[in-house]
Amino acid sequence: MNSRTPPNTAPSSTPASLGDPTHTHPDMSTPNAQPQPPSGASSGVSGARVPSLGAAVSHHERARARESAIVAKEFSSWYGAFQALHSLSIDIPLREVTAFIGPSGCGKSTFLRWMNRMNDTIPTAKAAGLLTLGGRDILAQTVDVVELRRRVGMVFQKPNPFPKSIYDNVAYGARLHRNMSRGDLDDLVEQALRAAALWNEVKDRLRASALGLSGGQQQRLCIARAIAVGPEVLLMDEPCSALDPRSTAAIEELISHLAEEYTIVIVTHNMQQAARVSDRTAFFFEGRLVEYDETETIFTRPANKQTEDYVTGRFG
Amino acid sequence: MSLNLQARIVDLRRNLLAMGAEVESRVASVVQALRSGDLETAQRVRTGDEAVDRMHVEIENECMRLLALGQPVAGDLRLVVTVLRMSGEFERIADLAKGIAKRIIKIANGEVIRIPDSLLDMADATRVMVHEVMALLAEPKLEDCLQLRRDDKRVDQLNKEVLVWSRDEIHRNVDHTQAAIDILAMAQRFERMADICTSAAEDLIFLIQGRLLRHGAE
Repeated sequence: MNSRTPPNTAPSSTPASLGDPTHTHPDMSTPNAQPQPPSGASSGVSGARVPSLGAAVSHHERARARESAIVAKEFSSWYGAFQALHSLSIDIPLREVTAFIGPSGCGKSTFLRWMNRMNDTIPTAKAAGLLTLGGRDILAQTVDVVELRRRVGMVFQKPNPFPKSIYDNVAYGARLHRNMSRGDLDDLVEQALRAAALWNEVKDRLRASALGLSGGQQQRLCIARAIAVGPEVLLMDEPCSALDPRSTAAIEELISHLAEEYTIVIVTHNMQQAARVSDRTAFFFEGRLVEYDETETIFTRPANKQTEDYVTGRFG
Repeated sequence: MSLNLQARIVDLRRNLLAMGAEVESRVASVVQALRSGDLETAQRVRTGDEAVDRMHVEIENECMRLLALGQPVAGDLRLVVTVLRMSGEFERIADLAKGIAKRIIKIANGEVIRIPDSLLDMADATRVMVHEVMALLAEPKLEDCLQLRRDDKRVDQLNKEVLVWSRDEIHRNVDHTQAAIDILAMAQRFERMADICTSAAEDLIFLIQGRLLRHGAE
């Protein structure tokens, strides 16, 4: 497909898969798709894989031989006739933190939202090229987006807990899709809250409303809710922009712990945050991926003049 | 903040250049004093390094402020780090020049002795290296920085020659022992200055490329 011409059809017009002759997606395709939950905390539980918190692993240790979690090849995207992304190719490494930076309107959030098909809700949004999760096409028509969003969780700019108890927020996805015993559900909620570094603060008031928590606690609750359904990837769209410095520090520390278990992609306007939390940084400008490298390289010796000018605050 | 940061980084570099010019002038003076026996010049170098010390402290404080408040990255970060390192190196060079000036005065007040050519050559070679550092700070060029690192080898060789001369001179005339030790001490200071110049060249390579070439790394 000519990436310069808006495609006539929705994302399903893209090639169905990478090296998959049948073009089917057993991991994502289920015949009876469930309705999606009201937030980025996706539904469905498979195996409730919640990590325990260990010592933080250094960026260098994580920068080992990389396996890719999400791969884009010549990926383009449009809103109607406006081309938002221009033929970008990128490998998002497994269990590392990748930061997307760039001025407003550069396409970083658009790209993030394709990774779990949040853009499906925008009628004019279209895409072309390849975008895969674990080697399987994210954009194929056959993909069960509910299952996709379970595997690719999302945390938004503003904390958006459900108007329910703390316990029910975390248990929401599991209750929707799995018959779990009360004891198993209790365990799952505790593990998820521990993994989100929130357990000690809320263990005595699990039945209290989530809306009574502070902003930072609410955001960690949303992270707990996202990881309770056992995702592989966590997308974070400016997760700290509505938080105070102390809550921001708590979330940033949490991110580095979570990266031991999950692949994390974070969009941020806070350059220091990108420098602090990420292993790799991608700089977007006007819908193009200008530079993508180790975060240390981007912030000490970027190869591209535009990147240098952006990270040093000379534009944007 | 970012616009301010950029303006202050320009000032920071200018201030380091000013400090470098002062240090270079002190090195040139001490070399001239060594060649000519001009004790007045030597005395001036010996006593007047407060200006360099003051510049050093001011530059260091400004680097700290910019790191803390401006959080520079990429080229800005490399420049602030380079200035921080080089200001310390320049201060050290000025200190060494002061030490050499002291020895010049001491020798002039002791036994009459002819300064060996190897020490004079060493002084000239070191002065040229210091000058080259300042020129490269004004206009960094990668190839010239790499060459400057190599120039240190000649100074090392001359230092060995001064060592041999000193040992022989003590054998030749035991009354020259103190003077020979003073000459050796001067040689060691020039050798140290040349070492600092290679470090400064490495700092400038870091500024240009973001690569750290320490301890002979290529």
